Amino acid sequence: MTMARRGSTPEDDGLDAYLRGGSRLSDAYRDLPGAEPPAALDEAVLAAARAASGRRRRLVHGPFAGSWLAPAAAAAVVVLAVGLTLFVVDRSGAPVPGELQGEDLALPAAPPPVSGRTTKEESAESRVPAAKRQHELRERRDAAPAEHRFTVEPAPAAAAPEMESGVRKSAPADEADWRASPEAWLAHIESLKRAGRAAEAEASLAEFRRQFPDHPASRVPAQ
Amino acid sequence: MNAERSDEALMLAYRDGDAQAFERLYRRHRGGIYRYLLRQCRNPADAEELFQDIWMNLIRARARYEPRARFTTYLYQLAHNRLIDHFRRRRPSDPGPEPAGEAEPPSWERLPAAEADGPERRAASARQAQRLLAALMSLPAEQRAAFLLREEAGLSLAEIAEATGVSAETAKSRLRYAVQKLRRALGASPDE
Repeated sequence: MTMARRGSTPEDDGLDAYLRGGSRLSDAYRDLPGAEPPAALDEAVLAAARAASGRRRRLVHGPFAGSWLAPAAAAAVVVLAVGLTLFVVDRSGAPVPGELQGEDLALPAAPPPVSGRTTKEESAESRVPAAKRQHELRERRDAAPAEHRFTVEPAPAAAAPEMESGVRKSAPADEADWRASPEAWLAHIESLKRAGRAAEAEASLAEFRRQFPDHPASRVPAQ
Repeated sequence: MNAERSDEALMLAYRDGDAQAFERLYRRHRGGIYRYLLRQCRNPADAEELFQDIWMNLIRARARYEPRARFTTYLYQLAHNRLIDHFRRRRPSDPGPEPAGEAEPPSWERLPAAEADGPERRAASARQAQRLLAALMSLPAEQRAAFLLREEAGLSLAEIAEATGVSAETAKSRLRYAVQKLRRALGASPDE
């Protein structure tokens, strides 16, 4: 930078010469031994700078700062909704009374298989053991506010054997007694045999085997 | 690529979380700021305290940094303001910033060991350094500040005025007086 101009004083000219650089004064100053800050001071300042930068980096790139937050939240809601539905669906597919009943009814109805379980339910149970599911269900029920607890309370029918409920729905009223349990059904077959009604006994036994394929009596070869 | 980046770019990078940018910026200016403070307050312990305060203030203010002026001007303005606070808070019993006509350079300046060098050139250099430092310490604080801001920070007259909060004419006058006195102490002519 030059400050020289027409009509300037000798003092101004001297200052201009100095400001142009390369003056003897500047050279002499440059030749002075350079005082430096102690190394410990350097470390203290740089450590403070790094710490402050780290805090900002955590804020800028932290778990709550990304644009992916909204999609992730939506995905989490979907996963929670599906998981909750799986928890409240009864093994037989019977809906749980309460608020979630509408969701259960919205599920596609599947014909009751022999085992009484849908593929989806079996898959869910393979991930979460039944005992654990019941335990979690109890915990969620206990943790829920009192006015909402009933919404996840298992239906009484859920505790009964699935096929029993299914048979009862389709069986005539006069057969209800001996169809109430496998033992009663087998006793009924025995009574038919004793009464000489072998054909009826055989037909009833065949029906019994269809309904209770896993029962020990069903594994006995037909006579 | 940090070597070519300007001070302003480095400070902006640090503002956005780049700690290495700050380190490079610090390495560039640490010596100049320290010598400015030391030769103004003339006490190493005070200079170190002020030095740390200034950099901490810069770190704390990083989020608000906008390159409205040259970073060097901004940094030395922080230093100048902190120094003024320091002078104002001194106890009355402490010596003020004015040197009261010191004839010898301060003990904390590490001058060349003239007697051990032998060669005339080294001896002359040591004597010149002694004269210059003594003259520098004898300057009024405002004139010394103007000279140090020019030599250590490379500020222009306008930037010296901005950093010290005075008009350009005042800054020019201060620097002119400082240069005249220092040249006389060196035995140099007004043009040297």
